[in-house]
Amino acid sequence: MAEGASPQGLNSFLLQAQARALRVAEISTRSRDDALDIVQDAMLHLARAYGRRPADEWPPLFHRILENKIRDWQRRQTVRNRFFFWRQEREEDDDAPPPEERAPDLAIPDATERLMQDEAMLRLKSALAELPARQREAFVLRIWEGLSTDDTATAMGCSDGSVKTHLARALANLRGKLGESWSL
Amino acid sequence: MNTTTDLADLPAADRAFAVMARQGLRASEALDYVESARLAAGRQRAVAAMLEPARRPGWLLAPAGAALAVALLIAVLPSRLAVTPGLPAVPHVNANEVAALEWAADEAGPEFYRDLEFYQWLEQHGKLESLPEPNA
Repeated sequence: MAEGASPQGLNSFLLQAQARALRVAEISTRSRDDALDIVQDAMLHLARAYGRRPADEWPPLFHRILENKIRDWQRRQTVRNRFFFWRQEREEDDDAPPPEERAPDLAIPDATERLMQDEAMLRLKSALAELPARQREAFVLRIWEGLSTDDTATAMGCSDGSVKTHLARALANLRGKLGESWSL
Repeated sequence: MNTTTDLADLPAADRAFAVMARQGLRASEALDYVESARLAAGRQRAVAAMLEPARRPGWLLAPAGAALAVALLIAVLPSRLAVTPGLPAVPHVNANEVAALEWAADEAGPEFYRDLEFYQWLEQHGKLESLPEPNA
Protein backbone atom coordinates (compact mmCIF):
# COMPACT_ATOMS: atom_id res chain seq x y z
CA MET A 1 0.00 0.00 0.00
CA ALA A 2 1.41 3.41 -0.91
CA GLU A 3 2.55 5.84 1.73
CA GLY A 4 -0.38 7.71 3.26
CA ALA A 5 -2.95 5.46 1.60
CA SER A 6 -4.32 3.95 4.80
CA PRO A 7 -7.94 3.43 5.90
CA GLN A 8 -7.47 6.17 8.48
CA GLY A 9 -6.06 8.46 5.80
CA LEU A 10 -8.99 7.73 3.53
CA ASN A 11 -11.45 8.38 6.35
CA SER A 12 -9.77 11.73 7.11
CA PHE A 13 -9.81 12.75 3.48
CA LEU A 14 -13.47 11.84 3.04
CA LEU A 15 -14.39 13.59 6.27
CA GLN A 16 -12.78 16.75 5.01
CA ALA A 17 -14.22 16.51 1.48
CA GLN A 18 -17.73 15.25 2.20
CA ALA A 19 -19.56 18.50 3.01
CA ARG A 20 -18.33 20.34 -0.04
CA ALA A 21 -18.95 17.33 -2.25
CA LEU A 22 -22.51 17.15 -0.93
CA ARG A 23 -23.18 20.82 -1.68
CA VAL A 24 -21.69 20.49 -5.16
CA ALA A 25 -23.89 17.48 -5.87
CA GLU A 26 -26.89 19.23 -4.34
CA ILE A 27 -26.46 22.23 -6.65
CA SER A 28 -26.36 19.95 -9.68
CA THR A 29 -29.20 17.66 -8.66
CA ARG A 30 -31.32 20.10 -6.64
CA SER A 31 -32.17 17.15 -4.43
CA ARG A 32 -30.53 16.47 -1.09
CA ASP A 33 -31.34 12.76 -1.06
CA ASP A 34 -29.98 12.19 -4.52
CA ALA A 35 -26.92 14.27 -3.67
CA LEU A 36 -26.29 12.13 -0.58
CA ASP A 37 -26.59 8.95 -2.64
CA ILE A 38 -24.18 10.33 -5.22
CA VAL A 39 -21.56 11.33 -2.63
CA GLN A 40 -21.82 7.93 -0.91
CA ASP A 41 -21.37 6.18 -4.26
CA ALA A 42 -18.39 8.38 -5.07
CA MET A 43 -16.78 7.56 -1.70
CA LEU A 44 -17.20 3.84 -2.31
CA HIS A 45 -15.91 4.07 -5.86
CA LEU A 46 -12.82 6.00 -4.74
CA ALA A 47 -12.05 3.42 -2.04
CA ARG A 48 -12.51 0.43 -4.34
CA ALA A 49 -10.80 1.76 -7.42
CA TYR A 50 -8.16 4.11 -6.04
CA GLY A 51 -7.92 3.34 -2.31
CA ARG A 52 -4.40 1.98 -2.72
CA ARG A 53 -3.16 4.96 -4.70
CA PRO A 54 -1.10 7.66 -2.92
CA ALA A 55 -3.29 9.91 -0.79
CA ASP A 56 -2.28 13.09 -2.61
CA GLU A 57 -3.90 11.72 -5.77
CA TRP A 58 -7.28 11.36 -4.09
CA PRO A 59 -8.66 14.95 -4.33
CA PRO A 60 -8.68 15.23 -8.15
CA LEU A 61 -9.76 11.59 -8.49
CA PHE A 62 -12.60 12.05 -6.03
CA HIS A 63 -13.88 15.13 -7.83
CA ARG A 64 -13.64 13.36 -11.16
CA ILE A 65 -15.64 10.43 -9.82
CA LEU A 66 -18.16 12.81 -8.27
CA GLU A 67 -18.64 14.71 -11.53
CA ASN A 68 -19.09 11.44 -13.43
CA LYS A 69 -21.68 10.26 -10.93
CA ILE A 70 -23.53 13.57 -11.21
CA ARG A 71 -23.47 13.31 -15.00
CA ASP A 72 -24.78 9.73 -14.86
CA TRP A 73 -27.55 10.88 -12.53
CA GLN A 74 -28.48 13.72 -14.91
CA ARG A 75 -28.63 11.33 -17.86
CA ARG A 76 -30.88 8.96 -15.94
CA GLN A 77 -33.10 11.86 -14.86
CA THR A 78 -33.41 13.08 -18.44
CA VAL A 79 -34.71 9.69 -19.53
CA ARG A 80 -36.90 9.29 -16.46
CA ASN A 81 -38.39 12.77 -16.74
CA ARG A 82 -39.54 12.06 -20.27
CA PHE A 83 -41.92 9.48 -18.89
CA PHE A 84 -42.59 10.56 -15.32
CA PHE A 85 -42.29 14.35 -15.28
CA TRP A 86 -45.84 14.86 -14.01
CA ARG A 87 -45.29 12.48 -11.12
CA GLN A 88 -42.08 14.16 -10.01
CA GLU A 89 -43.74 17.57 -9.95
CA ARG A 90 -46.44 16.25 -7.66
CA GLU A 91 -43.89 14.70 -5.29
CA GLU A 92 -41.94 17.95 -5.10
CA ASP A 93 -45.10 19.84 -4.22
CA ASP A 94 -45.86 17.32 -1.48
CA ASP A 95 -42.33 17.57 -0.04
CA ALA A 96 -42.29 21.36 0.14
CA PRO A 97 -42.60 22.72 3.69
CA PRO A 98 -45.70 24.77 4.50
CA PRO A 99 -45.41 28.52 3.83
CA GLU A 100 -45.24 29.44 7.53
CA GLU A 101 -42.11 27.29 7.90
CA ARG A 102 -40.48 28.85 4.89
CA ALA A 103 -40.97 32.43 6.07
CA PRO A 104 -38.05 33.87 8.06
CA ASP A 105 -38.56 34.96 11.65
CA LEU A 106 -37.94 38.69 11.31
CA ALA A 107 -37.97 39.15 15.09
CA ILE A 108 -34.53 37.52 15.32
CA PRO A 109 -31.69 40.10 15.16
CA ASP A 110 -29.86 40.07 11.81
CA ALA A 111 -32.72 38.06 10.32
CA THR A 112 -33.11 40.55 7.48
CA GLU A 113 -29.41 40.47 6.76
CA ARG A 114 -29.37 36.68 6.89
CA LEU A 115 -32.36 36.55 4.61
CA MET A 116 -30.54 38.74 2.08
CA GLN A 117 -27.44 36.57 2.33
CA ASP A 118 -29.50 33.43 1.89
CA GLU A 119 -31.21 35.00 -1.07
CA ALA A 120 -27.85 35.94 -2.61
CA MET A 121 -26.54 32.42 -2.04
CA LEU A 122 -29.66 30.91 -3.58
CA ARG A 123 -29.17 33.07 -6.64
CA LEU A 124 -25.51 32.10 -6.85
CA LYS A 125 -26.29 28.38 -6.53
CA SER A 126 -29.10 28.64 -9.04
CA ALA A 127 -26.82 30.43 -11.52
CA LEU A 128 -24.14 27.82 -10.85
CA ALA A 129 -26.61 25.03 -11.60
CA GLU A 130 -27.47 26.62 -14.93
CA LEU A 131 -23.85 26.79 -16.11
CA PRO A 132 -22.66 24.32 -18.75
CA ALA A 133 -21.18 21.26 -17.02
CA ARG A 134 -17.53 21.94 -17.84
CA GLN A 135 -17.75 25.59 -16.74
CA ARG A 136 -19.44 24.58 -13.50
CA GLU A 137 -16.81 21.94 -12.92
CA ALA A 138 -13.97 24.43 -13.44
CA PHE A 139 -15.60 26.95 -11.10
CA VAL A 140 -16.31 24.38 -8.38
CA LEU A 141 -12.84 22.88 -8.41
CA ARG A 142 -10.83 26.05 -8.87
CA ILE A 143 -12.83 28.60 -6.87
CA TRP A 144 -14.91 26.64 -4.37
CA GLU A 145 -12.58 23.70 -3.74
CA GLY A 146 -9.47 25.85 -4.18
CA LEU A 147 -7.54 23.30 -6.25
CA SER A 148 -4.60 24.53 -8.28
CA THR A 149 -4.97 24.83 -12.03
CA ASP A 150 -2.87 21.64 -12.43
CA ASP A 151 -5.02 19.60 -10.05
CA THR A 152 -8.18 20.99 -11.64
CA ALA A 153 -6.88 19.96 -15.06
CA THR A 154 -6.18 16.45 -13.73
CA ALA A 155 -9.65 16.21 -12.20
CA MET A 156 -11.31 17.44 -15.39
CA GLY A 157 -9.09 15.40 -17.69
CA CYS A 158 -8.04 18.37 -19.80
CA SER A 159 -5.17 20.85 -20.18
CA ASP A 160 -4.37 23.84 -17.96
CA GLY A 161 -5.34 26.14 -20.81
CA SER A 162 -8.78 24.56 -21.06
CA VAL A 163 -9.29 25.00 -17.32
CA LYS A 164 -8.49 28.70 -17.61
CA THR A 165 -10.84 29.10 -20.56
CA HIS A 166 -13.72 27.27 -18.83
CA LEU A 167 -13.16 29.25 -15.64
CA ALA A 168 -13.07 32.62 -17.41
CA ARG A 169 -16.32 31.77 -19.20
CA ALA A 170 -17.91 30.53 -15.97
CA LEU A 171 -17.03 33.74 -14.12
CA ALA A 172 -18.28 35.90 -16.99
CA ASN A 173 -21.52 33.90 -17.12
CA LEU A 174 -22.09 34.07 -13.36
CA ARG A 175 -21.37 37.79 -13.14
CA GLY A 176 -23.65 38.36 -16.10
CA LYS A 177 -26.49 36.38 -14.51
CA LEU A 178 -26.11 37.78 -11.01
CA GLY A 179 -25.39 41.35 -12.03
CA GLU A 180 -22.46 43.55 -11.05
CA SER A 181 -24.19 44.56 -7.80
CA TRP A 182 -24.33 40.97 -6.49
CA SER A 183 -22.76 40.61 -3.08
CA LEU A 184 -23.21 38.56 0.05
CA MET B 1 -4.33 18.32 -0.74
CA ASN B 2 -3.41 21.43 -2.65
CA THR B 3 -5.93 24.06 -1.64
CA THR B 4 -3.85 27.14 -2.23
CA THR B 5 -6.02 30.15 -2.73
CA ASP B 6 -4.04 31.25 -5.70
CA LEU B 7 -6.43 33.39 -7.67
CA ALA B 8 -3.77 35.87 -8.71
CA ASP B 9 -4.06 34.89 -12.36
CA LEU B 10 -7.65 36.16 -12.48
CA PRO B 11 -8.55 39.71 -13.55
CA ALA B 12 -9.25 42.00 -10.56
CA ALA B 13 -13.04 42.10 -11.01
CA ASP B 14 -13.24 38.33 -11.41
CA ARG B 15 -10.97 37.84 -8.39
CA ALA B 16 -13.17 39.96 -6.12
CA PHE B 17 -16.25 38.07 -7.27
CA ALA B 18 -14.49 34.71 -6.89
CA VAL B 19 -13.34 35.46 -3.35
CA MET B 20 -16.85 36.53 -2.32
CA ALA B 21 -18.44 33.47 -3.96
CA ARG B 22 -15.92 31.17 -2.29
CA GLN B 23 -16.66 32.65 1.14
CA GLY B 24 -20.38 32.27 0.67
CA LEU B 25 -20.20 28.75 -0.71
CA ARG B 26 -17.85 27.54 2.01
CA ALA B 27 -20.08 29.07 4.66
CA SER B 28 -22.99 27.03 3.30
CA GLU B 29 -21.24 23.71 3.87
CA ALA B 30 -22.52 23.04 7.39
CA LEU B 31 -24.16 19.63 7.61
CA ASP B 32 -27.28 18.77 9.57
CA TYR B 33 -27.49 15.54 11.54
CA VAL B 34 -29.22 13.57 8.78
CA GLU B 35 -26.54 14.51 6.28
CA SER B 36 -23.76 13.81 8.78
CA ALA B 37 -25.17 10.39 9.61
CA ARG B 38 -25.60 9.31 6.02
CA LEU B 39 -22.16 10.57 5.03
CA ALA B 40 -20.61 8.81 8.04
CA ALA B 41 -22.26 5.58 6.90
CA GLY B 42 -20.87 6.14 3.41
CA ARG B 43 -17.40 6.74 4.82
CA GLN B 44 -17.56 3.55 6.87
CA ARG B 45 -18.56 1.54 3.81
CA ALA B 46 -15.75 3.11 1.81
CA VAL B 47 -13.14 2.33 4.46
CA ALA B 48 -14.43 -1.25 4.74
CA ALA B 49 -14.24 -1.59 0.95
CA MET B 50 -10.63 -0.40 1.04
CA LEU B 51 -9.75 -3.22 3.44
CA GLU B 52 -11.36 -5.88 1.25
CA PRO B 53 -9.00 -7.93 -0.93
CA ALA B 54 -8.86 -6.72 -4.50
CA ARG B 55 -11.70 -8.24 -6.47
CA ARG B 56 -11.30 -9.63 -9.96
CA PRO B 57 -13.31 -7.38 -12.24
CA GLY B 58 -16.40 -9.13 -13.59
CA TRP B 59 -15.69 -8.03 -17.14
CA LEU B 60 -12.63 -10.32 -17.20
CA LEU B 61 -14.98 -13.30 -17.13
CA ALA B 62 -16.45 -12.44 -20.53
CA PRO B 63 -13.22 -12.86 -22.56
CA ALA B 64 -12.34 -15.95 -20.50
CA GLY B 65 -15.72 -17.50 -21.32
CA ALA B 66 -15.35 -16.59 -24.99
CA ALA B 67 -11.88 -18.19 -25.11
CA LEU B 68 -13.24 -21.36 -23.49
CA ALA B 69 -16.10 -21.53 -25.99
CA VAL B 70 -13.68 -21.12 -28.93
CA ALA B 71 -11.41 -23.84 -27.50
CA LEU B 72 -14.37 -26.22 -27.19
CA LEU B 73 -15.47 -25.49 -30.75
CA ILE B 74 -11.94 -26.16 -32.03
CA ALA B 75 -11.88 -29.47 -30.15
CA VAL B 76 -15.31 -30.66 -31.27
CA LEU B 77 -15.71 -29.34 -34.82
CA PRO B 78 -12.94 -31.34 -36.62
CA SER B 79 -14.51 -34.70 -35.70
CA ARG B 80 -17.90 -33.44 -36.89
CA LEU B 81 -16.54 -32.08 -40.15
CA ALA B 82 -14.24 -35.05 -40.97
CA VAL B 83 -16.50 -36.28 -43.82
CA THR B 84 -15.39 -35.84 -47.45
CA PRO B 85 -17.50 -33.13 -49.00
CA GLY B 86 -19.98 -34.40 -51.55
CA LEU B 87 -20.20 -37.95 -50.18
CA PRO B 88 -22.95 -39.14 -47.90
CA ALA B 89 -21.79 -39.54 -44.35
CA VAL B 90 -20.92 -43.13 -43.43
CA PRO B 91 -22.68 -44.16 -40.25
CA HIS B 92 -20.32 -45.19 -37.53
CA VAL B 93 -20.98 -48.76 -36.37
CA ASN B 94 -19.28 -50.30 -33.37
CA ALA B 95 -18.29 -53.94 -32.81
CA ASN B 96 -21.32 -54.85 -30.69
CA GLU B 97 -23.66 -53.63 -33.38
CA VAL B 98 -21.79 -55.75 -36.00
CA ALA B 99 -22.10 -58.82 -33.77
CA ALA B 100 -25.81 -58.15 -33.39
CA LEU B 101 -26.18 -57.94 -37.17
CA GLU B 102 -24.34 -61.28 -37.61
CA TRP B 103 -26.65 -62.82 -35.07
CA ALA B 104 -29.67 -61.57 -37.01
CA ALA B 105 -28.31 -62.99 -40.30
CA ASP B 106 -27.67 -66.44 -38.78
CA GLU B 107 -29.75 -69.30 -40.21
CA ALA B 108 -30.43 -70.77 -36.80
CA GLY B 109 -33.76 -69.84 -35.33
CA PRO B 110 -34.05 -67.61 -32.30
CA GLU B 111 -35.26 -70.59 -30.25
CA PHE B 112 -31.75 -72.10 -30.69
CA TYR B 113 -30.21 -69.12 -28.91
CA ARG B 114 -32.89 -69.08 -26.27
CA ASP B 115 -31.76 -72.58 -25.05
CA LEU B 116 -28.10 -72.08 -25.78
CA GLU B 117 -26.91 -73.41 -22.44
CA PHE B 118 -28.99 -76.58 -22.93
CA TYR B 119 -27.44 -77.25 -26.34
CA GLN B 120 -23.97 -76.63 -24.94
CA TRP B 121 -24.69 -79.23 -22.25
CA LEU B 122 -25.93 -81.68 -24.87
CA GLU B 123 -22.80 -81.14 -26.94
CA GLN B 124 -20.55 -81.68 -23.95
CA HIS B 125 -22.26 -84.98 -23.17
CA GLY B 126 -22.30 -86.18 -26.80
CA LYS B 127 -26.06 -86.25 -27.04
CA LEU B 128 -26.53 -83.50 -29.61
CA GLU B 129 -26.35 -85.86 -32.61
CA SER B 130 -29.10 -88.06 -31.14
CA LEU B 131 -31.62 -85.25 -31.26
CA PRO B 132 -34.13 -85.30 -34.16
CA GLU B 133 -33.85 -82.59 -36.86
CA PRO B 134 -36.27 -79.68 -36.14
CA ASN B 135 -38.01 -80.03 -39.57
CA ALA B 136 -38.08 -83.81 -39.52
